Amino acid sequence: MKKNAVKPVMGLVLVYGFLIVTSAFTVFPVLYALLGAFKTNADVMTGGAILPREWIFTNYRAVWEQINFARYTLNSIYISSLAAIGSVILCSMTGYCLARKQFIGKKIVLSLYLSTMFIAVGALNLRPLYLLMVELGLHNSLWGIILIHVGTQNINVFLVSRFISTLPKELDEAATIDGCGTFQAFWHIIMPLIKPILGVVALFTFRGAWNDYIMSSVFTMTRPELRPLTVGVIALRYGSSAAAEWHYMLTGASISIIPILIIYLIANKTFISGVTAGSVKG
Amino acid sequence: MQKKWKAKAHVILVLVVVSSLMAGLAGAAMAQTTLVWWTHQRHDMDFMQELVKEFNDTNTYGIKIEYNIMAENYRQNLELAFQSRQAPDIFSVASDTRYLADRNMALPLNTYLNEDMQVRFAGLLEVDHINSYNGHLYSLPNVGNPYRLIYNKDLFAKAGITSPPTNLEEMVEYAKQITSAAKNEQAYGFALNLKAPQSALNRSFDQVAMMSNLFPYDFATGRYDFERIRPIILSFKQLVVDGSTFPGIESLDIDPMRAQFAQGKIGMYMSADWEIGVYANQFTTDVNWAAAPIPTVTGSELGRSNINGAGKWLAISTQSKHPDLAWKVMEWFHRNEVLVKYHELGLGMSVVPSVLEIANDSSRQGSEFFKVDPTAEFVWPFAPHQIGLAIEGRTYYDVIAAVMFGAMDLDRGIQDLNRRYNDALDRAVSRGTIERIIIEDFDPANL
Amino acid sequence: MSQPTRSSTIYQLRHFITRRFTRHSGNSAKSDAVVYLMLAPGIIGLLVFSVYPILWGMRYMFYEYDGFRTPVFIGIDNFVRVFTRDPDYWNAVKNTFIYAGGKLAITLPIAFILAVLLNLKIRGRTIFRTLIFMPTIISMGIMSLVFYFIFNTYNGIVNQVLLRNELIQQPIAWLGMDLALLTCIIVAVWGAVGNYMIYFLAGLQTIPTEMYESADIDGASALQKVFYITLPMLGPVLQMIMMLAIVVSLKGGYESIMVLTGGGPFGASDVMFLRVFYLFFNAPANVYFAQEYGYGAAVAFVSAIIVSLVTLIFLYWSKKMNETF
Repeated sequence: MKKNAVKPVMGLVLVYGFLIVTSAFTVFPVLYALLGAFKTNADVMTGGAILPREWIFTNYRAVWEQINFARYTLNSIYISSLAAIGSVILCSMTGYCLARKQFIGKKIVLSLYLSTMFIAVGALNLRPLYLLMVELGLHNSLWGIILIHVGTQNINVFLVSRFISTLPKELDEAATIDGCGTFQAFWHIIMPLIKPILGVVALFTFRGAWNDYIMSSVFTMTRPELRPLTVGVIALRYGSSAAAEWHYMLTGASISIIPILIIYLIANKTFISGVTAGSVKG
Repeated sequence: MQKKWKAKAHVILVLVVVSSLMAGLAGAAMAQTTLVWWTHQRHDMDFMQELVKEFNDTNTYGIKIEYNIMAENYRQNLELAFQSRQAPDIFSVASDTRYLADRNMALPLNTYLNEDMQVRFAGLLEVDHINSYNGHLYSLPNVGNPYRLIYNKDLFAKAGITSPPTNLEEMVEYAKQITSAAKNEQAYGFALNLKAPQSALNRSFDQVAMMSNLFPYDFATGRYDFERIRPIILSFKQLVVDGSTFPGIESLDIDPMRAQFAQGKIGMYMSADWEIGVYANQFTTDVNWAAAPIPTVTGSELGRSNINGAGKWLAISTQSKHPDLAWKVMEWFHRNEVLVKYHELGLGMSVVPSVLEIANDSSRQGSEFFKVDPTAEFVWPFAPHQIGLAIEGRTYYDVIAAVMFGAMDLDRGIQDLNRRYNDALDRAVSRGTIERIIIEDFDPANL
Repeated sequence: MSQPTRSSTIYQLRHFITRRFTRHSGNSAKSDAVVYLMLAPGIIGLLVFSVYPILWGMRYMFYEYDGFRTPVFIGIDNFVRVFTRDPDYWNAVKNTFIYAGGKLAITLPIAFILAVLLNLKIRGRTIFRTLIFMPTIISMGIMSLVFYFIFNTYNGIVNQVLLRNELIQQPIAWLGMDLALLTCIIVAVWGAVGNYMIYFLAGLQTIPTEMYESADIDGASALQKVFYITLPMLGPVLQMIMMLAIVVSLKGGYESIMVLTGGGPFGASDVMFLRVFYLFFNAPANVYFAQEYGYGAAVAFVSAIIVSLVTLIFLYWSKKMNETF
């Protein structure tokens, strides 16, 4: 992209001013949370100050000893990455067919996607899905959770399908006319062009799976060793005391965000690459 | 269905990997029978886990207990486990017994009960809805949690008050005096964790009502009469009107409230003996605190407050493949020795006479305020709304909170509650989902 | 496919594709089969994980059911109850509209501006993107606890700052009756800006650079480019993102509200799906248990109809807008 060489300084000041103010707004509570890892529980619960009244460095150790971080982290990585990969494949294939292809029952499929999107609510689905997974023998296994994450991508399917429909039809038509199969046209032509949105789908699914609490906690209730990290972290507040141990929960959370940050930085490349290369890079 | 098959193959793979890992960790010391035990109790975690270990190491039945603490959604998880036939062998009872009986979750213990137990738990074995239902016994007693008014002695002294309030008028007055005397410290007379009105008012308002013999459910007639609690609502409202309540109590949570009490910012609040552990270990405090009996409306009514959760502890699952072994576990954990220790450690206040006879008072600081006083408290029977009566619209706790803050008119609120609660009860009774609980000549002072 | 093409026009692409795939043969029957194969996972997922559980839950709409005991058939009484005996629900519906409207009205413009700015090649954009995305990586349940303390009446940071600068005389009850919903909206905006920025950024990548380049040659200002290139080119994607935003904000937020206020005080921050959640899953501090699957299913159904009506109106309106412009 060409540089706007004569951009007035005022504009830049405005731009940076806006960015700095917004970042401050977004980062401050995160900092508050992260600093909670260095507070006593009473300090966290009394509130009133972002900095610890007295810096505590033992929380990390206590938390590390309380739950099996390594195991839980592995479980989470396993669930989240497979869910993300599965979702990218499912959303792109389904989105492509919905955007480009005619097939029997398309209207029905579309309206089912739309209507289930309106109605689906975690609390409502939990019990039937759990009972179903028991029937399938997939309860108490991470696969039940992964399949559900992959299978409930309604919104993303729509989104991807819309992205595909904005691409010029000539692209894959040309490919098809030229004798390229449907799947090849999809794989070689469409996929590279929708990388940005697939990056978003992967990132958001990964994050959703990583942070999922209710479903994951129910699905692993009889097998604590299969718990993902978020379930472990949230359970940290339930120590052996009457009051919840919020400082431990914040400590756990401050560790559990690191993997998502890494995934974000990777995904960021797909929507940072800029427009020039995006159109035909394969 | 290739997909399903594939998924199953993966499951098997995962299971193999996981189980081999686990097996590697656990070594070869596998017991013959594993009994799964679920509990919603976490305050006794350290003590219980030690006991479980002791039992696993020493029992001669080849039993290995797998002790699993469910922090949240205990009841939902338990239901789901029962529905999918994965229920634990032993579980802690967090509901009334009709709930257990209706869902066929718990095994009747009557036939298991030995003579020694019948003697030790005499008088505590047929508490309807608490541990028995329809003549079946489902759980055995251990401890309960008595409620108290917890107060900051330093703040009381500062306001020139010498003893805790015994009636609501005093409570309102003292709260006002403390608030004005402690302006500089920004401390306030009274607090409630009203973010969850039910949790806040059950530990305070309900106990005042029970102590004053003004509980809104009339056990003698089997109907709700919220007119009875009018004077209590008025006093609670007065606290807010006077500005004696901690700022923001309408959205205050229990733990922040405790933290502020530990900081000396709150004059009084009501809760049960859980607070002992909070101030001993968690929110350690310099505050000179004490606890007094729950005040009543006039100070001279004849009622008794409730001992929370008393009369029940564990149950054996109907889905257990080894009910007899599960009973062995229960027997072991219900030995006087264990119950005495449980009480002495201050993990709860025992309600078992044979335990109280020999147990020392808990050495935990603060326990002295929570000794069960049989003349002032007992295990209250459950009212229909406490055993799953579905109320249309807001609960009475929500309504009281709204009236306290002027968000609802008192008269209208009471009328509305009488109508909705009695309608709900009538409807549930006619549908057979709840029974009308009637205890003739119900008199909490003389039972 | 490796070498990136510098200037990308459709013509060149077509040429490029033609070169690559000329010698493949295909027939339409085969391609049909491929379409169904490609659709299969999505449709199976849809039926198994979305349609099935909804049908499972919905069949209890006409029953009194606690999730375990035998359901009692009660006809349309659950619906009669929603429409005639549940003012709290309609209060929650009203709140939901305020909540969703407020959240969208603040979030979308900010997110869009951020996306446009951070799509420019300016210094530090990765850092800014990361900082703005930060809020979304910790679960809202945990972050809402932090906000609970930030907005605390007694000693929350917000009140402290306002008091210290003498902007207010008395502490403000941010989580009290009058402001609870507003505070929930602020928290929702905080949690959403990063997400929608990412969605918009992804959308921006679909606009060919050439368009901006030619606009530069014509001497268009930055604002002109936004209004004459970015927005129109983004149109269809924008429509989908907005639909998503509407659905999410009408349906979501309850996890955060549950922690902040629990829907209170006195229903001031209650929203539709928090009601549904409580009916199915029970309020966390509810000592006395009364699960209402039957009524919950009816409320969920009515709520879904409301969400779908709003979305369909939006889709209709945005289509109209497209046609007009």
